[in-house]
Formats: sequence, C-alpha cells, structure tokens
Amino acid sequence: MSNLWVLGDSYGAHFYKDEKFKTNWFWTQQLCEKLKCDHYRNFCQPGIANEYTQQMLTNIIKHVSPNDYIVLISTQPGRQWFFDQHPHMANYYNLNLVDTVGREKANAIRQYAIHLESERRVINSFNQFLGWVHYTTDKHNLNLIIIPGFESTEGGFPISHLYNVRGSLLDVSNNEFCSSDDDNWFRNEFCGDNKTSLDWRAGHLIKDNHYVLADKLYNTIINKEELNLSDGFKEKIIQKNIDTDYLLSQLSELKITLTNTDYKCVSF
Amino acid sequence: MKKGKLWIFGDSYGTFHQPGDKLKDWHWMWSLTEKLGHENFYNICEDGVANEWIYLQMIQNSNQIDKQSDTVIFITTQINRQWFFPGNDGVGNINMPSFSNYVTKEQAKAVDLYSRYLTDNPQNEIRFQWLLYALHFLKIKENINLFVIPGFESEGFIFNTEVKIKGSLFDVCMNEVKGKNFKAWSKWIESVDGRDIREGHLSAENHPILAEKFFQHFKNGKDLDFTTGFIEEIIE
Repeated sequence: MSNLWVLGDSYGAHFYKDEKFKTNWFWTQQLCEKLKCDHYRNFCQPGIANEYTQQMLTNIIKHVSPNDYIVLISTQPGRQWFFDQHPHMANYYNLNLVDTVGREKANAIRQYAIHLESERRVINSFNQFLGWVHYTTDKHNLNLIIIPGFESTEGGFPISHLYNVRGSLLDVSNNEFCSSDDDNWFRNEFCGDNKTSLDWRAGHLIKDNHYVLADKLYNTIINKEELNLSDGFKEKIIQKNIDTDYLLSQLSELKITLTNTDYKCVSF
Repeated sequence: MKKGKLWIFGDSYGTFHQPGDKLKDWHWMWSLTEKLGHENFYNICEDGVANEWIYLQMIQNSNQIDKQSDTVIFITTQINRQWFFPGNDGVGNINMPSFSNYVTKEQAKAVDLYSRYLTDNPQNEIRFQWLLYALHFLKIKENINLFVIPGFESEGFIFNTEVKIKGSLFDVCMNEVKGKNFKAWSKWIESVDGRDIREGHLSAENHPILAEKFFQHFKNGKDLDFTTGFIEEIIE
C-alpha cells in the first residue's frame, strides 16, 4: 500500500468542478499511476507561499508510510502568507488587492513591497526553507523530491538533496511560448478579457508536457536520473496563429478564472 | 597546546562594548575560549539584528570554520524581529519604542502598517523552525561543531537534538532584576531609557557561571538550564 503526496502551488494544483472536467492527464495523477500508488493525495493550492507548504508537510507527516512518495513544489520565495485564513493570497503582486483584501490592507501590502521587501532577505529565507525540508526528509526518512516551481538557489543548499534537479517548472512553462508577445496574447486575449490575465493551461503546462514531466519524474524517482526541467519538453508551441482546436486540446478542461473559486482539488 | 577558534554569531547577547582588556578576566567569551582550549574567538554579533542576518553571517563565514578544531555558537534572537533593512541591520526589533528614530519616515510608516495589518499569520514561528532545522542540517552535512543557544523563545522549539535546553539567555537577564518577572524587568529597562549597560545583558557575576554551563554542555553533553544556578535579583 503506498500513497503519492503532492504539495505546493498552482504548478501542482489539480482542479475539477465535475467528473468530466477532471484532466486525468495531469502530471501528478499520471505519476501516481506510473508509481502504482494506491492513493493520490494532492494538496496543492494556487497562490500560496512556501510557509503554507511547510505547514501542509508538517500536517501530513504522521500519515506518511515508508512506501510513500512525496513531491513538494517550491514556489516563489518572495510570496508572503500575510493572512492566516487566506493562504492563497500570498502571491500578492498578482492580485487586485483592494478588491480582495480591502483598501487598508492593500495599502499596507503596497508599502511593504516598496519599503520592506528585500531580495537578499528572501533568498536567505528560501535557503532556510530548503534546509528545513532536507532535515525533515532525513529525520522522518521520507522519499521526498523538491521540484522548483520558480528560481533555483545559487549557493546554499541544493534544491533537492536526495535527487538531482536542474531548472524549474517556470522554464518549462515559459518555453511553451514562441515569444513574449505570444505569451501576452495567450494570457490577456485568448484566456483573459483584455483586463484580466489568465492561464487556462493545467498547472501552467500544455497537455503534451504533462506526459513528458510525468515520464521524467518517474525516471528520476525510480532510476535516480537527473530531473532536467530545462530540456526535453515541447517548446515554442503557443503562438497567435496557432490552430485554435489544437490549442484548446492542450488546455485544462476546466477554464479557471480568477473569480471561479467553486472548484475542488483532485485527491482520492 | 591551544588549537582552533570559538565562533560566536548572534545579537546583543553576544556583543560587548568595552575594550577586551577590561573584560578578559570575567567575560564568558574569554573564559569559555580558555576552557575549550581554543586559541581565540571570532565574534560576529550585532545589537538589534534579526535571525536572518545572523544566519547569513554564519553562511558567509562557514568556509573559514575549521570542522576539526573549531566550536561555533549560534545565539538566536526574538522570532518577531525582521531583517527589513539590509545595510541598517541593527533595527530588526521593529517593536522597540525608539524604532522610528533609526529609519526614514516612509520606512517607519510601512512598518507600522505591516504590524497593524500583515501579522495575522504564523510566518514568524514557521521561519524560526526553518532556521533551526537549517542549522541542524548544516551541522550534520558539514560536520560543524555547532551549538544553537536560545536568546529568547525556546518553548516548543528544538535547539539541540541530543540534549535538553531549558529557558533562554533572556531568563538569566530578566531574573537578575528584583521580582524575577517580565513586568519587573520591563519597568527596570524603562527606568534606564532602554540602555542596558550590562555586557551581553548579564552582570559580571553571572558570566563565569554561564561560561561553565556552556563548557559542560559543549564538552560533556550536559543539559543546559538557563532558569537555575545563576545569581538572581541583584538589580533593583
């Protein structure tokens, strides 16, 4: 009996509204099937900070058995879990702050971003986060791999001390666009309404790359191969003149909008 | 024959403000260096800093630490201190009454808003846990003779995975004040305008006791108890 536990941000957030919108090809679910796990436990949420991921890992540890696998997706180090009951608002630079938290808190966040945020502090803190995960992994004898959603560390602890990992999921996601103009077109015009920027890709990746990622991850976990996120994925796929039917076939069956929050995360 | 060095990373519990000649006969750092048989000590501590700053100092100096012969002390500070201003590192204690004297008006306003609206979360506790586990991992991975000492909060946190630590340096500091409680200490510190002239916040009498307790903890693996065995209520 084994479980696959997936923790992290939107790169692993596997949503559905009803059965027909379940994106069964989502990379984490494919990985679960490849690893022949009995249960798939996905706790990813979009917009959360690494602090929340640590809390999730702390909460599940007592339920993890020796045959289990844990995939932990680290997010942008600069995210801040400002509001206890709203962990998904940590990605504050992507939110319409006044509408979501009110004028006073929005102003506090703005002043924080201008006067108090520092890259040096953020990198230092992220390094400590990695140290926490590595020590926890060893202490509880976990089979855990960290996949960087965003930046890898320069110096300090390795991103994943049990496995070799190169690049980040952001590399895979960004490389799917032919150009930055195509990126803007996709988010603002194809998915969004010219006012709101959206991404209808499941976990910010096209369908074909879910298969590649699941394969690569399986080989890393089972055969100890390096997980190279900078190479081997489909690239330069999305562009303005792409065949719309093909593009739609590569996207999430559930078109997620910022106001559409009645979805559930897949976990069974 | 003396060998190796004692490294001390921390906040004001590790700083001193008088010349070494006036301290060497009684200050815990000099006597601990002697007891451990080290040649010298390197002190990388600053008043008012946050844990993130202390951690960075240790990382930046780690390639100079001799794993075979050196001893490293990491004194943790209050978990709610914030390293908001790299370059103005000593203003980590954003709750101190005179905080606004040390930053710009805009920075003071941003900190005020932060304290009022953005602290309803468990980030400080979580990041303190990150720090402690990162230090434990570093100690094992790099095989550093490292001892983490609580300057303040210790309840519920693991500072040493092998032996027990009870209380913190703040207990020794506070218990020197008549009344032995936070209220009495607060009243006293207010009466001296926040200027604690004790070296490392301890009276001279308690330095040799601390040095011996550290020595027994480091060399003989004894539990470290900051709540008993010190001289108390000597300040009114």
